[in-house]
Amino acid sequence: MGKATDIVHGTIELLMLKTIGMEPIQGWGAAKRIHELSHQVIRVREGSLHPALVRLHALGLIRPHLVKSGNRMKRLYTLTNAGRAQLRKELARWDRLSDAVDAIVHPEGVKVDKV
Amino acid sequence: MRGKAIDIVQGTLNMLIFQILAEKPLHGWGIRTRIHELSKNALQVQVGTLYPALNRLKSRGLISAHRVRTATGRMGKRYTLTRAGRAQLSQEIAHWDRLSAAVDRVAHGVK
Repeated sequence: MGKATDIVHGTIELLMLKTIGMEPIQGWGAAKRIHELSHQVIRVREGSLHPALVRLHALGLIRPHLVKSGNRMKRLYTLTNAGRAQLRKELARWDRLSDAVDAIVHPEGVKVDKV
Repeated sequence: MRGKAIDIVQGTLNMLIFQILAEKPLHGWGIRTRIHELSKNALQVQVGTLYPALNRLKSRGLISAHRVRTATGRMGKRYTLTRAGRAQLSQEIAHWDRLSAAVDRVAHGVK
């Protein structure tokens, strides 16, 4: 396996929404889960993570909750209703895009098992 | 076709240009048409994105351009994939397969 790929612009929102939609999670926790679920192929850098969270929050798609953890506070994110709707839209868009690109680069319809 | 056509981003566009020129040399408009056709109109390439991309790929030696007279009698450029472009195509397809499979795993929980 090659090295982890920096994520394509635009896809990071989809993956953040998906991960935050699974359960309330901290920003770095969402990045870690994306890395794990992608089998270490996708890495969300600190420099992309924070702006993505700010953007999603400003758009009203995620909501932060401060939760006491020991003697510290941690910030957990959850999806808003708008965030859930956006996630469905972005999943549909991704599927459409990736199917269309696959149809062009794998015209024979036979794809070597993606690993 | 469901929904409106999606504009392709730079990295993916290069790969699609290589793939289409690997079939046969084409003009710029021919490349655009082929991308629309093959994707059943799901993908679209803006003219303002395509030509700068072709110029960049040409300056990197991945495609070459030849001036030819078109069917309508005008002079135009026909692009051909170079040997270096062919090598780049296989690399980019491998990269795409790896990345899209990874996105699918996160997005759909595919193992």
